[in-house]
Amino acid sequence: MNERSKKISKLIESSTSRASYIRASLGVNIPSQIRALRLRCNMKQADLAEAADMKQSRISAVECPGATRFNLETLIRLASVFRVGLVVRFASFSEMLEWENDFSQDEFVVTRIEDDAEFLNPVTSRQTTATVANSRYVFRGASLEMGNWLTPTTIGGLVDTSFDRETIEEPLVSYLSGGKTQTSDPQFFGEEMLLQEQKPITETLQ
Amino acid sequence: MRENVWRFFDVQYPDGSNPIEGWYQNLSEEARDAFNKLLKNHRKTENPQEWIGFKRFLKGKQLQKERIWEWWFVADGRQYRVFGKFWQGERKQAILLAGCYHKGEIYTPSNVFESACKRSRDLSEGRAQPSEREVKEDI
Repeated sequence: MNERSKKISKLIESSTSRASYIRASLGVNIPSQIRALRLRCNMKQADLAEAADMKQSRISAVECPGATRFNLETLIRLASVFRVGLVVRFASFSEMLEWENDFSQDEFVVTRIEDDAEFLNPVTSRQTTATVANSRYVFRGASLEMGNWLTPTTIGGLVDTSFDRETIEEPLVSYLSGGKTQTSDPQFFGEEMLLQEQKPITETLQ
Repeated sequence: MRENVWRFFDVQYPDGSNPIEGWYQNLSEEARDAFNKLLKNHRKTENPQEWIGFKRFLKGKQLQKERIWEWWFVADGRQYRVFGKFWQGERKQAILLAGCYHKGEIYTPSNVFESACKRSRDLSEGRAQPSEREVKEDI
């Protein structure tokens, strides 16, 4: 049995192992995100400390791997200073690992609220809301979760799911049936969806 | 996914001994996980001064001469220190020389600085070889 298999067996069998693993992951990945965001803001630790109303020693600790048992209030304060949202949710181990593998401190950028077009322009988001059962679209830049409602999701953003069914059902049905979407509203699905409209539906639906 | 920009190495002696691996094997499960996650994170971070937990280049005549630096991380309520150096003349390669506990001003084992210096010299003088360290138990 190789080390990877041994580790997986341990994680399956032992709650203590799972807790250690999650703690170690967060203990590295949260400080790394905080450091990345602070550096993107051209802030020194002292600047961040002042803006977040925290001591500099505390900022130093939150950027040290494993040194802080983060509470939500600390993360909220930091997110607020960085002018970004915060997502805290449970996830599968594979999802957790996928995020970690994709994460790079050097490339970690989060759109600030004033530059967050999706957040600032909720009208567009509302127009992309539609009814489709048991399907899921994923496209570049955002995902549309389709349960009973097709709902654009953004990290840290709230979405108004109210919509005008008549406005949106027809083009969506056309799209799902493989035909080219005919819509008088060029922003109907947003630019990303329009780019994909010629593809067979089987390539798009998961 | 960002490619790794750094490679990490252990010190391997001709008799097969590897002090960093020996240290690693004696760590608690949480400390091993933390160390692995840290390596994984640092591999993708270009500027070592931006590595989380990167503390400083050590002071002291021999330590300065060998350009040895120190990382720290905390796991299972203990503070750990890792000593290393950048590989001579090679870009984006770092050698891990020693690891220890740290509390207050006390490093355990207390001879960790001497060990790090000795291993660094052993590498420079060909008595030991660098051996690439994979992130263990990477899933």
